[in-house]
Amino acid sequence: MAYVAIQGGQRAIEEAARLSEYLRTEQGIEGRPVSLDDIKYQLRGLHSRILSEGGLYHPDLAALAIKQSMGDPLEASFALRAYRSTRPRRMETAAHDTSRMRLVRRISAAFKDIPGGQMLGATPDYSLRLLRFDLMDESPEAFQEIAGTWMENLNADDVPDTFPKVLDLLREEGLLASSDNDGSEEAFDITRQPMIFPVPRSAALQSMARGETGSLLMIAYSNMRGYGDVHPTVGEVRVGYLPVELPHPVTGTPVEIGEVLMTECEVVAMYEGGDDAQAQPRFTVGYGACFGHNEVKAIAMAILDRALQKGMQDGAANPSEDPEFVLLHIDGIDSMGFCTHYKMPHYVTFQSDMDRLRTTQSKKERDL
Amino acid sequence: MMRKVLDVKGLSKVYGKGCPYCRDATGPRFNTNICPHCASVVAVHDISFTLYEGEILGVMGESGSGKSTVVKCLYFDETVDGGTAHFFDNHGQYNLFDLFSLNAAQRRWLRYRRFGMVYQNPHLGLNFGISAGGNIAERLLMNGMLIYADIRKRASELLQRTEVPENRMDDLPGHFSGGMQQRVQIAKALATNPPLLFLDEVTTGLDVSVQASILDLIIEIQDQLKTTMIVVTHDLGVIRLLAGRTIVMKNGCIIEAGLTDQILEDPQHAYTQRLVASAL
Amino acid sequence: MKNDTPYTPSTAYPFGFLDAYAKREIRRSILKAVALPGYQVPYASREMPMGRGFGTGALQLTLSVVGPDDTLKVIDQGSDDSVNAVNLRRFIRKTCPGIQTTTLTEAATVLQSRHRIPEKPLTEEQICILQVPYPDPLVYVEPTEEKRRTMHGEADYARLWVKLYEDMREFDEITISHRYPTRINGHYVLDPSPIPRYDVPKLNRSRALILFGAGREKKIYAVPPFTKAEPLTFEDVPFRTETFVDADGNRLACRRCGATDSFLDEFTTDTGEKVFQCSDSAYCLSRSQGPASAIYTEARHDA
Repeated sequence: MAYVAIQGGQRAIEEAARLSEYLRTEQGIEGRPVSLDDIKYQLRGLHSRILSEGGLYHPDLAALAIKQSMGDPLEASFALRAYRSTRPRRMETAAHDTSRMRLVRRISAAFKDIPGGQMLGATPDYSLRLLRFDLMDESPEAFQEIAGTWMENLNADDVPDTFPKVLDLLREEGLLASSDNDGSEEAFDITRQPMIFPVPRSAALQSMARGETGSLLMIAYSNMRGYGDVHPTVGEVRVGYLPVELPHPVTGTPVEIGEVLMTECEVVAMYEGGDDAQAQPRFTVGYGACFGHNEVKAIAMAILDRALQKGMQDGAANPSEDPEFVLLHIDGIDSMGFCTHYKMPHYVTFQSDMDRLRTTQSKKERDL
Repeated sequence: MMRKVLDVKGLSKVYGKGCPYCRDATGPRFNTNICPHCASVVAVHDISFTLYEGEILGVMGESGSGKSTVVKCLYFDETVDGGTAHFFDNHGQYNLFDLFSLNAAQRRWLRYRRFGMVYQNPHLGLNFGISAGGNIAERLLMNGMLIYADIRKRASELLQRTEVPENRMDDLPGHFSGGMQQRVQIAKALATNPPLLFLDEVTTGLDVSVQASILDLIIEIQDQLKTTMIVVTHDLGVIRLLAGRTIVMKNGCIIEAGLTDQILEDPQHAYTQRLVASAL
Repeated sequence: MKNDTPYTPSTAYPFGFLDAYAKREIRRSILKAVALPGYQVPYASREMPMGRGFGTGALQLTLSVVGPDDTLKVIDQGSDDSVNAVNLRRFIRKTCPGIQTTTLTEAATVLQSRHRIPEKPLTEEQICILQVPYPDPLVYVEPTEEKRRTMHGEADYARLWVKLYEDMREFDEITISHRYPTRINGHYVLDPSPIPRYDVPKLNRSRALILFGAGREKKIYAVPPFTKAEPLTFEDVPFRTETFVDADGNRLACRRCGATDSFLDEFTTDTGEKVFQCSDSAYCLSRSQGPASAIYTEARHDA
């Protein structure tokens, strides 16, 4: 057998990269490169996922990450997150009030009607999941006509800019504990401080905000099915654009520098007694929020937020209430990295294992 | 003059928030542990006793009397809400431990090196994931015994003394009968020759003949090692057999204390009288 | 949205890829780790362009420690040419312009390695950085990190010892092969990374500083130079390393350089023959063809 040439590994990696590039451009003259806009507009769902799991709100680079990884969500989030980790921290914003979101969708399951109305927005929730064969050969003309006629006869003035929060209604009535958080408490920063359990709620929410959607869904689902008792009602799901403000460097007044598309969900869960015998019991709340339009993630996150709060207070009765179990296993970059690493050479450790087993076997043979 | 081993004064434990009225509104007079004002449970209130070297003290009472809680507090399985306990250690050099003011490391040290505990439920005292010998080995390892052959020898000796067949040393606790599991627990508790041993309802739930043999074992051990013991039980028979002195508890308080013989022959408190009279 | 700033590597990334704050945190964690031998220092591990599990922890240590005048060697399974080592070396060259790389162990000032410590003893001039998947040996017996922290603080390794006892009674051998729990300076027990038992004695009173980086688990720890490092075992059960002997009990030799004092890779050739070869490729080449042949320049492979 030929001795492994010392340049073998290097060449293999280079060839693997070239082969991947070939796959990406395999269509050759029959294809055209997918543009970043194609991804941002026509693959919104995937794009939103990457924005949120990459943990960096940069629509162009998120689209680039999707393009270079040929649509692999874990690889794309990974690339965006790796880029993010090199960015210097210039400033921090103050806490933002999400009631200022410019909404594109807003519903509540808790009430039949709510101030501002139930606005379904663009949602597949009530669509029939039948394959649309008419899209198989969509012509550019048909494509352009839809957007072209949409804006006609629209009365933009009918729609209010912002909508009040549904949970505020419950607070007014005393069914929900009013928040004693005035935004002055400093949030934990998971990208700058090591997580040492027990961690504060802000650390849990941050971890989940950029957590992998499937992982969050799986653990939240276990709680829904009975490994837990959150019994949630969706108080509100809202999707829209939150204006982001930074203080002016000279005057200090907040200046809007842009907006981010985000999804927010507040669930109302089982009520619990007050801290002392005199206090009234109230509903408990779970909160979920993420970049982009990703409702499954926001709802799962809200359920887990409630479960973790319960677990931190009463001790974990199931995996979804155990902060270490949840927070250490929902990061897609960590989990996929470790899973993938098993493909790396492990022959020295295996050699070591073989030595152990052989020694043990020979001992047993002597005894037999 | 007998040497004191343990001096407990005013031990109290309340589950719940507690309020100023708790202690005055509960107890044997009121026939309840539950405070009518704040719904807290006064598990034990103002327990005081002294324990002397080499004796077996019986703690007797029915369910809810707080007898197990006393021992849990002394073994640090539970925290206390009042009172003091002093442990007089005479192991090479003389040391006095103020039990409820120790830190976690000191408490752990005492649990491994000076105290032994046998629970009614073997799952609390044994690790069911490791062998019987392994359970004993854990205590020996924490006591600094690092020679494998010595560990095997000592574990084997202990199991022999507690009459567990030697060829079962490597079996998992789940493969033993209830009586055997208790024997393994006792062997484990005795591993480091603790001067103080707690036994919490160790024969409750076992067959009568098995109970008898375990009780015999305890008497034998006490005879040979002169270990000081606190035996918690609701069974008069066990008290009669093992304990030289006894305290009787009801609703968290001591209602009667003294020599076992005296209490059983001539009980003073009405409740004790009922207990003694109703024994089969 | 059109962006005017061109994204080129030199404008996008600072020297060593990580920003100054990240490096500062890592360096401070290293100092803490050296001051507390064997203690796992938690740190806010940054994401790197290679996957978690591919050495991001050790990589962060290397990037925080090297300067333009350092000479770097990177190995995986003992070989400079293993895919992972090649990848890491390429990345470090790209992000640390000016740095030299080498395959010759004695020429390196910083060594990053996965699963092996080189055969040639290291010196006071060198730092060895090991890639770690599991920093905590207690993970064998306790999954909860919070409980493990308390156990380390109190040097309560009873449950780990019991696992060794159970191995002995069942197999008459301690079955842990790599990642052998080792006690540092008489207190903390660490996981020395998946180096084989063969390499564990190299930690004891090493002349070089040995650093350990766990990127995914977000811990840094260290064995300082001239520090005691004792593999956990019973006093009457000697710590045995891999033996590499044939059926007659003779020590096997590397088929290329003839060494009988190195860790050997075992594999089967296309003709079905079982052969053994030094795992440390630079050591092997040095012996069979002279030290100069072990130096391999990669200038033409720079991107």
